[in-house]
Amino acid sequence: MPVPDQAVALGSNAGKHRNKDQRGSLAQIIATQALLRMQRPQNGLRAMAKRYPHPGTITPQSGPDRRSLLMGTVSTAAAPVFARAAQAQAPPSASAASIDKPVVFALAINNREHSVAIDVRTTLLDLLRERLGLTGAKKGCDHGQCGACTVLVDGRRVLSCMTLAVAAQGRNVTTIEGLANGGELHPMQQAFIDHDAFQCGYCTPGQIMSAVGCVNEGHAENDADIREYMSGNLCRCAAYPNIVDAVKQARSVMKTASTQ
Amino acid sequence: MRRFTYQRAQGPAEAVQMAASHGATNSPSVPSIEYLAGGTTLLDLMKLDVRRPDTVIDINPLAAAGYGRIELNQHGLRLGALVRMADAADHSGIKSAYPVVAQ
Repeated sequence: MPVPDQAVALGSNAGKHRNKDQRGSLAQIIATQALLRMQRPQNGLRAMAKRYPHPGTITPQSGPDRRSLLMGTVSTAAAPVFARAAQAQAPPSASAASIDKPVVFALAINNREHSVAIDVRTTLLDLLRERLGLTGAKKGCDHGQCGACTVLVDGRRVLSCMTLAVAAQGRNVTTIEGLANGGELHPMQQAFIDHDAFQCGYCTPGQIMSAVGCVNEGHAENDADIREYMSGNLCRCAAYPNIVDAVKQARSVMKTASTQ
Repeated sequence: MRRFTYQRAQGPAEAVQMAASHGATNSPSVPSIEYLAGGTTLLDLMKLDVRRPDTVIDINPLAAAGYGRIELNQHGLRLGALVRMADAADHSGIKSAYPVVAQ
């Protein structure tokens, strides 16, 4: 299996390589993804560390972290594509030029006011993730089918991938990042940990936001209700039984907290 | 998704007037207008390039102007155009008198 060595070498040289030769970008993405795939499962990582006795070179801490490495690679790879697209979409008339102007508006995210100027097509999810660096809400399907992007808008759960950011102007958006109270986890977050209510964790921020909404709506009174009202959030790891247990635990804690 | 201009209507008259001022039609040669309510269908179809509106008129503010109301009386059931499906499905009156609608 020669892949790890190549991938590691590429990871450490990624910056240099990128500047020298744009054509290498696609190969880099593929190699980076291969590297990431290997790093993700804990067991695989440990097994690999045993097989290749250079633990220092393969652990995520040694180089750039997963997110910055990926984002750096993707942005250089995408630059030429966008440049071409911009040329092709040169405004044909003055009226089209006004369409190109960013929309400016304010909204509150996790009780903090934000003023943004963005392309009108930006979804709330893309605003959170790409512009504000709040990457807790996840992009699963981007078509409103998986629930991974669930956030609360004025306390109500919505799919941020199916919401135009501009349509959320003047609203208060709560994301997973805004749930904890300082260093203290929200009861729902704690319950998910206590009940091991996830495996890969990709759907978890959406599950937790949805579960908070579910309890606040009063739809968490029994197992059947929890399953029904959490049915908009898919979990490919099928952690559903543990999620139901977590919601039940958090429901009691949240109820006690609200009556105090 | 294609570019579009976004407008927000505060009342029904304004919503109609906004659409009229763009010459509301869906023929491909004339600018097309779409009203945005929940967005689940419209945004999905716009992402897939099936719907290509030049102008999107957000009518969500109309919910506060009475279009988000559920009225249930001896004459029957009246659902405002901006009633959320979840609200209708969870409405106790609808659940008892119109269980099929709730489902």
